[in-house]
Amino acid sequence: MENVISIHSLKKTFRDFWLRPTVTAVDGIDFDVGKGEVFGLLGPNGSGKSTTIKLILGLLSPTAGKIEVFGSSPRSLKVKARLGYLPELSHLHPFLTAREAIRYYAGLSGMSSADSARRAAELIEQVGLQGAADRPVGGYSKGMARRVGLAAALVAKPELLVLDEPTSGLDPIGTREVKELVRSLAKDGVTVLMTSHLLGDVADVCDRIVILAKGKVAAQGRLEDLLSRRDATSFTLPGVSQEEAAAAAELLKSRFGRDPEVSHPKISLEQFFLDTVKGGDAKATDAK
Amino acid sequence: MLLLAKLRAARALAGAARREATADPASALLLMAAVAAVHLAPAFQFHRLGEPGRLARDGGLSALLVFGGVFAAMSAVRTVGREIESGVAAAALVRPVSRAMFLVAKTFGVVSAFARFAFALVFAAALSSVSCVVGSHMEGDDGTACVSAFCLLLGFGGEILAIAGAAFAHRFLRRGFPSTCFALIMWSQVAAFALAMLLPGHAAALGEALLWPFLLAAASVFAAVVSFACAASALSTRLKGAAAPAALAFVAAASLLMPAFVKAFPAFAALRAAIPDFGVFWLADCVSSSSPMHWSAAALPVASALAVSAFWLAAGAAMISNRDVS
Repeated sequence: MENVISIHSLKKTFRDFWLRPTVTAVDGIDFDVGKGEVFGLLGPNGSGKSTTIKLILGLLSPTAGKIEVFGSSPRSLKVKARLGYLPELSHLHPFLTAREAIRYYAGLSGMSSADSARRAAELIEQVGLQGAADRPVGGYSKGMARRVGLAAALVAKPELLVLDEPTSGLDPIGTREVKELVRSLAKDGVTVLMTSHLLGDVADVCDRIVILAKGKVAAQGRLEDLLSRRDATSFTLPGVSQEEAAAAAELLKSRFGRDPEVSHPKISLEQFFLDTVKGGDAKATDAK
Repeated sequence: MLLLAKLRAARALAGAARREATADPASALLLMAAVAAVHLAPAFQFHRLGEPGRLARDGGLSALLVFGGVFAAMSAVRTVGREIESGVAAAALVRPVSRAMFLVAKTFGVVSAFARFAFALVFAAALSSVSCVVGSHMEGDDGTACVSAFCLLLGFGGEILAIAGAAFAHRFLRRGFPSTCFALIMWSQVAAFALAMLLPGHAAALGEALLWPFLLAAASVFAAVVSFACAASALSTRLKGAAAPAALAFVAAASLLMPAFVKAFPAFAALRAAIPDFGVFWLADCVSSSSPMHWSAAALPVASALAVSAFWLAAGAAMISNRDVS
C-alpha cells in the first residue's frame, strides 16, 4: 500500500527564548499511514498527539528524524494543496459569516470566486448549517463552529484529512454524521488521520491506531488485532430462550470442561440514543 | 494558473486582515477621535497662527502620524502576532500559502485599512482648512480666528450622523458596529467635503487652503506610517505579549530621533534603511509657512519609506520562515 504519511525516528524538543530545551514532546516515534486508511492517533493529555499533528502539517519543525507527506516535506506548498485540517479548537475570524469563512479558506486554496461560492453552498448543506450560514461565526455555539471548521477542512477536496478531536462539542447526531462522513471519505480514497479522546468514536471509524504515551509509541496496529481476545471465542445465537441457553452452557461445559460466559449482546449507548431520538421523531410525526 | 491561485490566496488574506483591522472597536474609536480633533481644534483657536488653516493642516498631519501610527501598529500586531499566538494563523498556514506570502498579504491588508483611515483624515483636514480660510474672511479686527460654521456642521455633524447610522445598522440590520462606523465616518468626510464645495465661496478657498502642498505632505506622512506598520508586522512574527508593543515604542522613538541623530553622526546614515523617518514632518512646516514645494520634496521621503518597508518585510519573512506555529 502506498504510504501517505511516513514518520521515522521523529523527535521534537521545545526550547525557551534562550534556546534551552524545555520539554521533549515527541521522542523518536515511527509509523506510516497508507492511502485510504482511517488512522487514529491516541494518547492521554501531554502524550504528544497535537505536536505530532503539527509536525505532519508543517507548522512545527522536527528536532530530529524524518517526516514525509505524499513523499515530500510537509512544508511543501504542493503537499499543503492536498491537505485538509480541522484543528482541535475552531479558529475562525468572528466577524465573518459561515459562508464567508468557508469562502475565505477556499480563497486560500486558490479557488476562484465563482468556485468558492458554489463549494461553500455545497458544504453548508453537507454540514447542516443552512439556517445559520449568513450569521457571524462569533455568535455560534461550539458545535456549530465545529461544523464550519469541518466544512473549511473539506473545502479544497483534500486527499489527506487531518482531524483533531473532530466530534468534540457535537451532539450524538452530529457525531454520527461526522463518523459517517469519515467512512464515506475513506471509501472515496481520502486518507484520514484523526485524534480523539472518545475511544468509542475511534473504534467506530479507524482501521489502524497508534497509541502515544510520554512522546513514545506505546502500541500500534490494526484495531481488530489489538482489540481481539485470541484466547476466547464468542457465539451469538438469536432467538434463544433462557432454558436453551442454560442447556447450551451445560453442553459446552461438558465438552470443554470450562464454564462458558453467557450474556446478551449489547448495543452501544450512541445507537440506543439515536434509535430513541428517531423513534421519538416518528411518534411526533404520527401524532401530527 | 499557479500564479493566479497565489494571487487569490493573497487577496483572501489581505481582505480578511483589512476587515479584521476595521472590525476592532479601538479602530473605530481612533478614527472618531482623530476626525473630531481635526474638526474641533480650529474651532477652538483663539489666535491666528500666521496664516488661515495652519492649525487645521498641522492638526490633520499630526493626527495622521499619531493616531494613524497607533492604528497601523495595533492592527499589525493583532493580525500577525496575535493570530500566530491564538492559532488562527496556523489554520491559514496549513493551506498552500507560504509564510512570506502570509506576512506580506497580512501587512498589505493592514496598509489597506490604514489607507481608508488616512483617506478620511485627509478629507477632514482639507475641509477644516477650507473652513479656516472662509472663516478668515469673516474675522473682525480683534484678531480672533473664525471658522465656517457650515463646514464645521458638515464635517463634525457628518461624523455624528455616521455614528448614529452605524448604531442603526447594528440595531436593525445586524451589521457589526465598529466596521460600519469606520466605513460611514470615512464616507461622511468625503460627502461633507463635496457638499462644502457647493457652498458659495468655499471652492474658491481651496487654493488659499494650500491643498496641493498639504496632499504632498500627507503622502509623505502616510508612507512613513506604512513603513512603521511593516516594522510592526515583522516584529510581531517573533515577539510575544507586551514585547511587541515595547519594541514598537522603541522603533517609534528611534523614528522621531533618527533624523537628528544621523545629522549629528553621519557614520550611522545606514540606519535610514531600517528606521522609518518620522522627520518627514518638516513638510508640515513647509505647508504651514506657505513655502513653495515641488512634488520631488515628497517623492524622496516616499521612496525612502518604501525602501524601509521592503527591509522590514524581508526581515519579517526571514523571521517567520523557521518559527514554530502552534
